[in-house]
Amino acid sequence: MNGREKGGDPDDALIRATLAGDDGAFGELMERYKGRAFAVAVGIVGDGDAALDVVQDSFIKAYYKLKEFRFGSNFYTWFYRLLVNQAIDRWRKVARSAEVPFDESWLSGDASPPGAFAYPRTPEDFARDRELGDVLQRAVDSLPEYHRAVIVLREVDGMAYDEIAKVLGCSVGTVMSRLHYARGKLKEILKSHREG
Amino acid sequence: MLLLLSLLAVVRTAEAADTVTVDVGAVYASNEGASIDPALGTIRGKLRSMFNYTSYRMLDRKRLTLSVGETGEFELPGRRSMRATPLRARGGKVRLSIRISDGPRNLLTTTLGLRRGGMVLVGGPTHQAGVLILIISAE
Amino acid sequence: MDCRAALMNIEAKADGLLPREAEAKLAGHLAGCAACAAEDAAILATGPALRALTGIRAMEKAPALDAMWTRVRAGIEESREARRRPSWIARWAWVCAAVALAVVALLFYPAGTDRPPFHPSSFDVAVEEVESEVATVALVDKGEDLPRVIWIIEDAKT
Repeated sequence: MNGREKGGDPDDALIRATLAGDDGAFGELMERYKGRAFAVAVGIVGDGDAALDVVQDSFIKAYYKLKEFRFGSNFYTWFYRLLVNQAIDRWRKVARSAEVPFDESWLSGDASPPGAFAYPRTPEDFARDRELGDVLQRAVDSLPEYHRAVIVLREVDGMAYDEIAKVLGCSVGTVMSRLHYARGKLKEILKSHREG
Repeated sequence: MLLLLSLLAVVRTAEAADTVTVDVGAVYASNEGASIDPALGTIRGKLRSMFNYTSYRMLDRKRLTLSVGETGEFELPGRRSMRATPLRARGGKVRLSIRISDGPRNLLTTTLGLRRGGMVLVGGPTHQAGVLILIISAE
Repeated sequence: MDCRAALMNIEAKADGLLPREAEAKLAGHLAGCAACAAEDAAILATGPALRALTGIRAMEKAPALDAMWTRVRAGIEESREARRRPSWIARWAWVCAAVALAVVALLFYPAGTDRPPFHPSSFDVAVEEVESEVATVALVDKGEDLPRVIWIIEDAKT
């Protein structure tokens, strides 16, 4: 993504126009990224309504922080940092488990496989097998927030490692190690659900 | 005179190396309300990022300076208590033997190695509607 | 190539970091090793599965997402209104709040906690041993920028 749609203005031009008072330019910028932003937000918070709130709050925050944006850098990397922080904050407020704040124990549990089938690749696959969808969602929910953010940014958004590092404010090495951990957890869920 | 001052400096350094100041803060973490005690200083943000609770309140904080081998007792909220004993360590490091009890029950016995100025959290025991989190630091 | 090397290469391949030659060698190993092939298939599946999962949520919320600009614009307007409140009100509100806070601090702040706030210089902690008679103990390490945590789960409560 290079910050421009076919025939559209580059991100920088839309940002300048917004700062000059053209809110419509910000609307165009928002339309450009809202789909990707929602996919990342829902990957982190797990719930559609919460993800909509996160996207809304992130764009509002971005609007008021636009004067801090450094022209020449990537808008979506800058924006995604706001988005991921909002999503993680929202996730924490939901407080899925108060007694044991970090609970991965169920991952070694006994999900009973429905029988051998191909790995899910489409939403329809999950619609057919709601159990796997729920199991995989719980696996994602159980990941520590920044591990969840890494695998969502990489696998759902397709972000490069150095960009993920910039969004999360960590090193590429940390990104790789969190990705390895998160992928390992999800892989085990998929394997155990498949093997009859 | 210079020799005397140098000797005094060496003795003071040796004394400092043989004593450890153990600082224990008892924090009540819960989902009642959404406030974070300003007394928690720079670790407020860290507590929020690590745990799912919405409220963190410091109930008590105590500090004891202990010699190596000397055991200090910290009374904790509820009927719990913590005993800390500095052990021999090298350089600027500290080793602490810690035992946390709930009446006669041993909740935790551990030996920790940390730097002077370092911090560790011990949490989990239930307290009212939430849990206790102990902030243990050593200087 | 043995299975240990194959597993490392599978991970590297998933990250797009495996050179072509190594990928060809890996393919040769996978053709003859069912266990590694299963591992490869599972790792390759994580991305599409995660995308499919978020895809479901996106399908469910498509109408609301279409209307996102309405929501954002309303939020921007709301914030704009809040910022337009007379500045003198904000100034006096700040002074009153500061005075009230000082009074509360002097009267009610617990004496036992009147020390400087925590300013740790290190979270580097080695746990040499851990024991409990009545609880399960979990050690949690969330990275060098966060304190290590020893979490006690009393057995009656698990």
